[in-house]
Amino acid sequence: MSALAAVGRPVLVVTQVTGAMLLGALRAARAALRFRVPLRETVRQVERSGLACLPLTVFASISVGCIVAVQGMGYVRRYSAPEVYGWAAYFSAVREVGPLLMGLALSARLGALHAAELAAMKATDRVDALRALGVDVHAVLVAPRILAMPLAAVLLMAWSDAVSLGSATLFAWAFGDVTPWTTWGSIHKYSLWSDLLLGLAKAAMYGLFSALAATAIGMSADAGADGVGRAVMRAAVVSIVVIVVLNHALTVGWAG
Amino acid sequence: MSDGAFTLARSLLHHLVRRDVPLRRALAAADATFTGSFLLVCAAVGFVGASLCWQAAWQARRVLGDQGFIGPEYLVLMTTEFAPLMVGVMMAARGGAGLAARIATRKATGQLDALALMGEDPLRVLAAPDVLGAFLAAVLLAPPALVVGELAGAVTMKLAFSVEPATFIVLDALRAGDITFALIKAALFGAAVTLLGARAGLRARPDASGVGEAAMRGVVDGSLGVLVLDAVLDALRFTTGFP
Repeated sequence: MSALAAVGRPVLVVTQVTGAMLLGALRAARAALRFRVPLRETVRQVERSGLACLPLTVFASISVGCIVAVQGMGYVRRYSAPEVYGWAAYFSAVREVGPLLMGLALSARLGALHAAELAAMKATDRVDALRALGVDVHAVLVAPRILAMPLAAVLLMAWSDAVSLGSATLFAWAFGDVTPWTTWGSIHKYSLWSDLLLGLAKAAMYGLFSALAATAIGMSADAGADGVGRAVMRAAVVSIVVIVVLNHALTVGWAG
Repeated sequence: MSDGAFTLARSLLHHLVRRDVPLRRALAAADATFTGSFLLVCAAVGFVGASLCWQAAWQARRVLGDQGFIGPEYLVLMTTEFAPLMVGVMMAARGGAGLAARIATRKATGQLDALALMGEDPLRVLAAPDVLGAFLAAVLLAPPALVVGELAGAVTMKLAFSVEPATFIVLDALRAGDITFALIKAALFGAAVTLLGARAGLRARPDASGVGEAAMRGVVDGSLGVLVLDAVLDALRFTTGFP
């Protein structure tokens, strides 16, 4: 029986979260199509999501640059081919490893932020108060967050691309005798704009889906401090799983 | 009570050296973390591994027309980089945020003050067993994560590119140092995310939104901590060659 329960529990959680995300997406789309989403609130959410993540993005991007550089330098050492280092760093930082790692860090940050806020509003009965006033809480609280996060994620990813490439360039210069000129020449010669665009598109998708997960989980949080804490944890975990699965789907779907 | 990460780490080490951390509770925490994160870590590593492998193979076929060299490279990359990283990130989201929320809830309900009143160090009772447990659980989670990642790669290569698993899995490419490095990384990630989670919980404002913010801090500090620690450890290994 406990084995059955162990199989059943994750299935229940997955169906619950998927259903809540789908409902959230439908409601947000409906509110957006009827122009009932407050524009000012959406812009405010983009601004504060972006600002909240700026320090995290800088530190995380420097680290991503170093991680990418260590991998790239390993190949440069083994095959003694410094002229492709820039391309390799660009490709992983901008298209593959960069979006994945930044997606994980940013979605944990933004997903937890929005889940925490919504859950806390719910725990202190503010969501019910809005409902009692006849306000459409989905249009006012949820939809701006769902619309804002992809935009914030794209802006942050563009910023992160610049910082991580800079850090990868400096790392290779400091530890591997690959000059910035060689690196940038290699990026200029071999790199494709489409890789950059794919990376940004990935970031937008990650932002959208983790916003759906975070708002769905925040709005269904249990009352009390305990429920708020659990909602945040669950939002972070679900965001990570969603991103990892999306990463796979986008990688395979784009190329194949 | 001081709440900087290094002060916390020092007083935790102090408790560990004096061996007054409740060991049974540490083992229980390790058990809970391991069983709670096992499926999530395996699923995450599996998907990350499959997409990395797919990407590498597709590029290799396009540029070089040969995929034979991917197996050994992938095995080393998965071992030294992605398996420990996914263990760390997952533990930051589950363990770090969970511990931050638990401690913050206790703070909100006055339990921390009650402990302090009885002359008990909240750190020793509430945080130390979890940090020690996470350290153990991360070391235990890394090997299955490696195996799942490698198998996900092998399955991808077989299904999408018809490369036989026997060609793809080249265990000789792995040196003992790679495995040691992976275990060191995972253990440090586990301990760091839990420590940062405890710190976030202890600094929380004692109300419902404070608990939410603490859990959020736990996830954020944890995942950023994992990334920064990963970069530092990579750079150290790159420059010193150890392990």
